[in-house]
Amino acid sequence: MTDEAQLLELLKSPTHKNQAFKELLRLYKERLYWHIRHIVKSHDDADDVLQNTFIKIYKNINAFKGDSKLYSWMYRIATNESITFINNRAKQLQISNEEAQQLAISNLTSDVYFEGDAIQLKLQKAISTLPEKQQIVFNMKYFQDIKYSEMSDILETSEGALKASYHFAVKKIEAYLTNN
Amino acid sequence: MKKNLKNIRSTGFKVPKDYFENFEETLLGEIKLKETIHKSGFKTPESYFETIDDTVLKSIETNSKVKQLIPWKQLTYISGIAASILIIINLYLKNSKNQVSFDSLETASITHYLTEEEFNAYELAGLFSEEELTSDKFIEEPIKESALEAYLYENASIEDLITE
Repeated sequence: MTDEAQLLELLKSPTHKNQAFKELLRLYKERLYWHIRHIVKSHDDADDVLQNTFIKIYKNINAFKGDSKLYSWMYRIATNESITFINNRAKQLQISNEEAQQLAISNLTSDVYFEGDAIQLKLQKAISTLPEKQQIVFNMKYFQDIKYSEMSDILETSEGALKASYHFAVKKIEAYLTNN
Repeated sequence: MKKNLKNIRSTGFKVPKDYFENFEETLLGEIKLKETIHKSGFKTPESYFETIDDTVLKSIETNSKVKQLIPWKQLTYISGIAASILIIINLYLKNSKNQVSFDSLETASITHYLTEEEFNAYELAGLFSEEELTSDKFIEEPIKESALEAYLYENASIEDLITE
């Protein structure tokens, strides 16, 4: 049962919804987790956001019109939930979004679920200097190897703009790693 | 046909400006970066992906149960009471002489609200007409020199005051 249209049909059917949702969880939990994790950085936060994402998917599946792929729709929810999470955290601590991200990265040094060395930590710092959308594009391409065509559907941006965005991101990160 | 074909010297295909220069740069840049760092360093607790299904399903179940805590009958009573309270408040406000208007609000409160709500310059500009925006006499009262001096002393740094 991997055909998206068939899965969607089952998700919208009251009798099969729960079973189909379990299948959806099995298929996408890891991909969505890593997408969220690269945005929010800490495992505990990623866990919270992942749960919220799936709860939203479950609640809103009947409203999904099928204008885009189910996969893209779920990624969009995960992206929005992650950004909202960072915004809320920043508001709560009365700091800017950039400062909230810097804080999340500085917490990585004591995070038991981060086994990166100095250079990996520096890469995270370099990523955090990029504009929000460029960060998302870079993470999706560099770590998750998502195709530009799929990314275009998820982020509702042209493939050309995404390629340019990724190119600039790589250049800026390289410059950061060289200068710092 | 043959004559036409002879006249067609190029394919008509073209590439974006500096495509090949950028292609090399992008590709080499990425390869170099991936050689240095190819993993993010993030990891998950052991068996996380085996247990997350149950956690999510339980959360959904709990959420649904919470929704059912207030039965429809009770909701009707509650909404009836809420509506009555609203009507009373409305009637009170209508009769009250102390009606809230923009004039009664302190400028500081409005400034605070606008800062808190994070309006950007474009959103704020939308509240003014083009004439108001282009006018350079938008302040009716002239600013006193002493007040301006005090403001600059409090808020500006030396870098702001030095122009190239």
